[in-house]
Amino acid sequence: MTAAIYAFIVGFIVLNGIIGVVTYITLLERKFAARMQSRIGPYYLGWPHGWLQPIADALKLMMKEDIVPALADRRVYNLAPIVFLVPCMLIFATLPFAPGLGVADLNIGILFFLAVSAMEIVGLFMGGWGSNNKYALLSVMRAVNQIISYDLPFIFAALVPALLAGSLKLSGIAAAQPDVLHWFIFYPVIGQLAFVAYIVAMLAAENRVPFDILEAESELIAGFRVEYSGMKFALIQLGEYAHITATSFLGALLFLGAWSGPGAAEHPGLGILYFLLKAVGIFLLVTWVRWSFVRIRVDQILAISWKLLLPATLVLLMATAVVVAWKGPVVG
Amino acid sequence: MDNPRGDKRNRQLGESFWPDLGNLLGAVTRAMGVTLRNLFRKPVTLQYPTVKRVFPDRFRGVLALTYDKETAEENCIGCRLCEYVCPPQVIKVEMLKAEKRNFAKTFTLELYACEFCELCVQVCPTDAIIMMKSFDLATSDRRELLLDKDRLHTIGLQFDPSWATGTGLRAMQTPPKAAPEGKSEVKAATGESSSATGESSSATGESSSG
Repeated sequence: MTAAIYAFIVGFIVLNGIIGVVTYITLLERKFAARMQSRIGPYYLGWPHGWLQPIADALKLMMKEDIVPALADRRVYNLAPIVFLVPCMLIFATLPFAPGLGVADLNIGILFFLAVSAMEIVGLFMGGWGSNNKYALLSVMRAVNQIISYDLPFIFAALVPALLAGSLKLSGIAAAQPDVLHWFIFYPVIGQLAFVAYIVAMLAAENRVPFDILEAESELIAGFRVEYSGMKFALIQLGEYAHITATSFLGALLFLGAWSGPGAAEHPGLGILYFLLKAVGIFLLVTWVRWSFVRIRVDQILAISWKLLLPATLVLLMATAVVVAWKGPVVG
Repeated sequence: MDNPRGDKRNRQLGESFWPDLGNLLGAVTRAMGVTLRNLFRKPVTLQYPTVKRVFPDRFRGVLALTYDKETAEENCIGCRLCEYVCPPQVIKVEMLKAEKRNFAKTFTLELYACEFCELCVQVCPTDAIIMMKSFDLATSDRRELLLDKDRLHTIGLQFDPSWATGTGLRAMQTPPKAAPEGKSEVKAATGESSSATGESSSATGESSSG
């Protein structure tokens, strides 16, 4: 009973904390993108530098009229944002934010994370199908195509640290990287290659530029959410950014040693801050890529996945298995 | 590496793996380098209503009518040249005949249709109509952009004038006049000095025939 209450309280804090972080990560992205294009970004709403902008955006979306297209499949259309949002929020459940601080530290944590995060495609497809809009449908067809192609390399890349640590438990993987030199990104060769593969597959799995054929603002307007407005649109946006944030956290945990860092062993609070900063760092890296490149074609995206990334990550995973069998897993 | 586009464009991925990978890495580094450099550069954005950009001298903004500096009379003589030259025909002038000089009885300018081509400024014989350094034309009512004579004179006092006036523009555009006597000498001289160019041969031919 006390465990259930504890889980409920932690879940409540984590859920609301995540919503807060995700709301502000949009502002971070806008400011970062603006600076990359020699602009300023949101400025006026809230001193300094428009820090109230995300709240105003959320309020605006709540106030907006909720329009359902006349020919939409109403039930599917209305259900889609929730089906999309739930897995995106659920994946935070297994993330430990500090030693022992997490909603549910499953012993198959990374498997749960990868499986649930792949479920967002259901909500996505429901949204595109239910809207009864040709652009939305085109968009989700591309999305299904792309996400199926990139989930495999993503999983293989994410499994490399799990293999190195000899654990599927996220806290176990974090514990295997106790200090900076033991971070898996500094593991010779394998670590760097796996990190690059992880970032590329993450870009594609999150449908970020240069893999944003499903959004493709110049051809498909906003992709599968073209017919959504108001709060449903906000839920979809929230889900998307929550997913990106979660994958950033996972990347920070798998490759950058989660909460490890100077002084983190004595002060757990510092560890949480480190973890957050590392996740934001990965998010900024992804944003940096987003604002540096143009969109690539569908066939190029599929070719990169099936001809390059999938074999490469597979070989990498096997090489890691050989190394682990030879030297034994890294145990922190 | 030497030619990343061109003949390599139609190749399939994986046909030449290592050169492609090299190209890709180079391109990625270059692209991300550009954005990174911009990240640490000062933004070029000006916070418009509080900070205003310095207008260039030849700025073509809102039109205005001027007064004579010494006599404080209106410069416009109502000659209607601007009305004739105006491509979108937004200027309407009525002339008021007077003893010494003429005036504009009415002068209306429909700024909402104006295309800011500056032709009216170029033809104005008395430098009466000029352009001001202001683009602040947004209003909530279209009728506010139907400018009459008084409004145009007020605008002339409100903003900084642009460099261009009728006489100034015409002086700039007329070709340099040769002196009346010794005409052929000048032409021959120019023809000789630049005989290397193809155009000059016609000039020399003209002078010899004339």
